[in-house]
Amino acid sequence: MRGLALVLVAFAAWSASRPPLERGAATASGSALADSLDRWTATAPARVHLALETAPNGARRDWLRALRYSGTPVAWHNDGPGVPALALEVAPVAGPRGGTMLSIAAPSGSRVVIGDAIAAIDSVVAARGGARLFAPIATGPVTAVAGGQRASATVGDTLLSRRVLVLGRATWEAKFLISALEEVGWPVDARLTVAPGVEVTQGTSRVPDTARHAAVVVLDVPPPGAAAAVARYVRAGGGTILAGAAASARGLAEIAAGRVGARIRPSSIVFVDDRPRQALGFRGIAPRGDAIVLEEQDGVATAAARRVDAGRVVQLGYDETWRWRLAGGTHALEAHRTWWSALVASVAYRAAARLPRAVDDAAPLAALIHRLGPPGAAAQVAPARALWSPSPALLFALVSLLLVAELASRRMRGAP
Amino acid sequence: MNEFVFATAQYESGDWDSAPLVPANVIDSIARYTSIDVAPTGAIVSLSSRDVFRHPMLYLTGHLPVRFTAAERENVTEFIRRGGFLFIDDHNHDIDGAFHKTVTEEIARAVGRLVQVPNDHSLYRAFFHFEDGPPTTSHELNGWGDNLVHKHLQGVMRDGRIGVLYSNKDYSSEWGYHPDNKRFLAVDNTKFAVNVVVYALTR
Repeated sequence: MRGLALVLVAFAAWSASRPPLERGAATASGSALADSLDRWTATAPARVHLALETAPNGARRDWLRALRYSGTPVAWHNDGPGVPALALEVAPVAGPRGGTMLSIAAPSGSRVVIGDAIAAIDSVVAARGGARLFAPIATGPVTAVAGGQRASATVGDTLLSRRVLVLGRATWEAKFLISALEEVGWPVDARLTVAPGVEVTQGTSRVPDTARHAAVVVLDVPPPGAAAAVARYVRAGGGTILAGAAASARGLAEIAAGRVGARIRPSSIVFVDDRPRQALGFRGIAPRGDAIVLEEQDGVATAAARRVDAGRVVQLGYDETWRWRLAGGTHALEAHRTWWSALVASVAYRAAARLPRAVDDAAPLAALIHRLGPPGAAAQVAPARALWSPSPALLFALVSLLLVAELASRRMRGAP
Repeated sequence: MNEFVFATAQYESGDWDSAPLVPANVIDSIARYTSIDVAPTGAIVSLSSRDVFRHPMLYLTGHLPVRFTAAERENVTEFIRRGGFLFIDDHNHDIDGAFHKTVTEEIARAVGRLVQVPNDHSLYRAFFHFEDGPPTTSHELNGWGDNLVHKHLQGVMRDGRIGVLYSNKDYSSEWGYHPDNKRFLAVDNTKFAVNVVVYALTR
């Protein structure tokens, strides 16, 4: 008993030697946060409440999180209009011209200024919660600034260049598709059937292969062996575009985005630049449940997409887009090849070479909520990891009780 | 849909319809040797109309001087820019005839200068193999015209492809017979027409 009392007295003496806890609540605005963090770390307040116009940077969020885990409740609320819900994603475009696609989430109507490590790239006004922007060149971290909030992100990988394989018969669609892709810069392999057992070939690789091909475009019903190879390629992660009747072929129907319907005549005989594909006939698509309709005319799907295992499939109802290129308006040539290139890029097999990522702050508000909870919510206290710190009165009572117990024990035993 | 239609270009000057049997003969060969969907009859397309852009391959021939109208010239320029294929054959099979002089001038104005197509070009392996380049016609040495065998075809190249293919070998005479008469030939002389069509469809 005496030994136990001595231990408690020693613990009380050690506790007394530690700096006293700051017992009052502390508040700070975002601008004063840097100084406050230093102070709160040396002298912990009873709780911390922040008034924020913008989210603190990643290091300060982590610092606040650490404060919470050391036993200081931390909460925050929006100051003024509040922390803008800004997020940024940058991804390389899987096309021969490269470039970076910037996807920005921001409050509708807000102006977002985009820049990279060198200079400003552009500014956009967010509509329907965001904006997308193509940057041919982006050097270093890309930043988006809206309402004083800054988000930054870097491209995490670089896409390896791959070829496109075109399978089909010798038709104008095949010829003009190959031309369009090559004009954009895609290297193209082709197998075009001109007679039973006779193919006109281009390039050296004629079997779909994720090591060689970014995408496979199937323009007609291919031979059974080729269909099976395309299906295997897709399941292994490749991307394919099934145009016209190709999606009804045995071996490809299982991976298609929908069932091929009847051929529908064009609703217009004149190509209009802003709706050029209305002058193209197409086969309607009845999409599967897991497919996404990309384009439709008069309620009938003309393009749909779905994932198949690790790969992607886009199914097109159009099988005579060459008419658009040849007979379309002034900009038809460029529009046709851009459309096809974008379609191929959208399914392209993304064999990535990972790049070392810089420290990104792609979604500051989301990260803040992840770290500290939603604004205005009661601060959650992390389980205390500090040592037991009883009050001095309790310690005194315990020591007294132990000494009295020892005295009583001695008396009862008749000890001196 | 997507079927190949053999289209003959109709132009204001000259005699565009000097080889009326050629389309049927070429169509017959396409159907005979390939699995290409081919329309059973050809089409005649006015070179000054927008219909030009419905037919990616056009066949143009004649004996007489050719002078394109402004609309024809504009269409030819745009047709080639968009990837169309124009096959021109001099029905005179001579070096310096009226058709040759005028049509090459017109092509130079509308599209660009003709250059020699090498005899190992992929055109000569597009379907049948012609190791020596363009096959000789029986009309080149028959006492008419310049009495010369033209060893090369000419063309205007666009992005590495032939946009305009020009022949003064007189294939229009060589192929100008009824398809039923092919059976009397030891070697079908329209095979090169198959190459031209397959090349146009695949390159």
